[in-house]
Amino acid sequence: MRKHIHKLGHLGLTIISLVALTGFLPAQENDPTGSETSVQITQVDTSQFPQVTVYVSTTDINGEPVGVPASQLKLEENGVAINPDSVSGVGEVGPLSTLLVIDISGSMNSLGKLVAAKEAAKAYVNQSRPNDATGLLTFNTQYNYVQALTTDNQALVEAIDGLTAYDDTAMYDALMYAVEILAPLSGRKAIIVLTDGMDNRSNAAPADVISSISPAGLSISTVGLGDPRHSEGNLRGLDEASLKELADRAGGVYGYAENAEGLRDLYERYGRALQSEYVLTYTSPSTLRDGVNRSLTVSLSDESSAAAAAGLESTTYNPGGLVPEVAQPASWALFFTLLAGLVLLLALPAILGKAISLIRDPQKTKVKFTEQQPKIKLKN
Amino acid sequence: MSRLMRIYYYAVLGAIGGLIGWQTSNLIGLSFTVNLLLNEVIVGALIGLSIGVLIGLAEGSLTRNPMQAVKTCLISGGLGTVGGAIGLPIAEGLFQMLGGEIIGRAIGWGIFGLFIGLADGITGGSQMWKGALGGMLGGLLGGVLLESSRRLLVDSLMGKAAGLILLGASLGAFIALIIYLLSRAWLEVKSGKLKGTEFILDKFMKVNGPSAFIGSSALKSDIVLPDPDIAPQHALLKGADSHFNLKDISREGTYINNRRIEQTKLKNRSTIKMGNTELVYHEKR
Repeated sequence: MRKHIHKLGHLGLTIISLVALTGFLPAQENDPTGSETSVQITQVDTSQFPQVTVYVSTTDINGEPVGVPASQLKLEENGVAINPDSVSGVGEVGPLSTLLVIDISGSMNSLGKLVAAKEAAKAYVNQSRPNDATGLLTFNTQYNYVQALTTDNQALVEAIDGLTAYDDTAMYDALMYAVEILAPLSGRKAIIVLTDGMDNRSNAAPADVISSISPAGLSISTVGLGDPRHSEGNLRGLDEASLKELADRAGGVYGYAENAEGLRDLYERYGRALQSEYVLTYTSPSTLRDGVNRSLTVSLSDESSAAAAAGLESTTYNPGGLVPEVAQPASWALFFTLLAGLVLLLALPAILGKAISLIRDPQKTKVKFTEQQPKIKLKN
Repeated sequence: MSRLMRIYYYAVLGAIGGLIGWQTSNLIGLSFTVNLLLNEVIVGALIGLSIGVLIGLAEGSLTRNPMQAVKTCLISGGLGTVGGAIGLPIAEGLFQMLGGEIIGRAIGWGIFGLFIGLADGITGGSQMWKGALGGMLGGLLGGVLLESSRRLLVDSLMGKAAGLILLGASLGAFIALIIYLLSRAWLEVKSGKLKGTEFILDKFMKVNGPSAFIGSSALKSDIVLPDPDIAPQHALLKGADSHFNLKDISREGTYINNRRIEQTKLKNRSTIKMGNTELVYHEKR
């Protein structure tokens, strides 16, 4: 049943997404300067275009959120420096909508991984703020929206406690559905997905997930849960490369945990990072929905030294406009000139036909001419 | 009206529809409400309406039947409105998912054209999918042209004009071309005012589908032949899936290959005579 909903909803998603149209979040280009503070654009919201809202995360080398003076955040659109209308600092980000997507395939029963996942999810829920909504979506061969987004932490904890693991893994199908759930919502939206194995049953591919979030505008962070032998190179099918790429391209981060404690730390850190983001709101200098991609760059200038940016990230967004909006309509003179040209094309075969028949049979012309003469005489 | 001229007129009238859609969309923009989805629905509907009305006009006016022209204009315009209103928001979503640029624009426009063509295909005398295919191909070309023009001319206005005119023209031309290429049965008028005109019969071909009345009344007949010696309802053409049966319902009589008939199965290249008008029945091109 869920599968059917998913397939029907996939088309609907693109339409629904237009209500709260947000920009693309393609591959990030982190600054290679080696700075300890990195800056990441996690979500671009263009639902109120030409007002654009950019969510920015600043973290240290360990992924822990770092507070920086708001004045250090520099924003550029298409290379033009932007002066934001407002900048919300650490802790001022609005309510979060987070979907915890958890692998409950059979392999999660081994080595206490399901128990660890439950504890980590509960830790995330417990540190959420009163207005933050969290939901629970599980997957094995099928996916199941166990707990709809809610601010009721008790209901969430009960839903998490009730999870059992069995069957195979179809993570990307579940992520497609997770994006569908969050797409119509406004504000900061995030998916945190946990898996311990390679996706072996999905119909959807990672590229489909990336495509689907383009208009929805949200971030996906991924968590790989292995076993103690991970360090020895035994990943037990954990597809880390795909998880890293997905997170990179979806404005999120990838983390690996090999035990319950590491997993709980990871979830708590993700929660802290989401709550510590900066929100930059500005009015785009180009207010037309022309369907042309615009580059967006956020950098962290280091005021203590006159050196270049300490952290830098770029992404693109599209304001919408498959049939582009133009600055001003065409003049009526131009419109009627073009119309006259097309009407002339319409009449051209008839005109040519007449001309050809006259050339072939010039007598017709003479007859007509002589026929007309008496009429003129009569009038005179 | 030769087959080539039919394609030409469809294309030019479709282009005029695209031009009207262009100026309409220029005037109202895409930000008249804060809800982009609603804006897309309205703009898509207006473009679909203008292209649909003009393509409907083509179908009606080529048979020199004012009643038919008004009827197909209204139906095709209405269907184009619905097709555009549904198609543009979906195409916009797809455009966003594909990351914009020339690929996104071409595919997005292709989908937009597909929806309008799907709607207009209903009145084009062929099955809907043929119109949809024509619309999609026209949209793809229009999208590529729009994006190329925008990049070359650095001017969205003229690029958009070129794109929408081409979209309308391609839609018209492809609908006519595909009707021409893929039609299974048609009547060709060999004499009289409509000499050269072809009536596509595909939509009447199914055994359980509608039958076609042939006559001189625009109100009572589906295939209208302006000939005073033809009765308002002169003959009935009934589909039998693989062929047609023609039944005479007039006093004056209907002749096939110079033999008067009451009811008969039509064979390829049969010559039908009613009043002073001669028609040739064709099957499969």
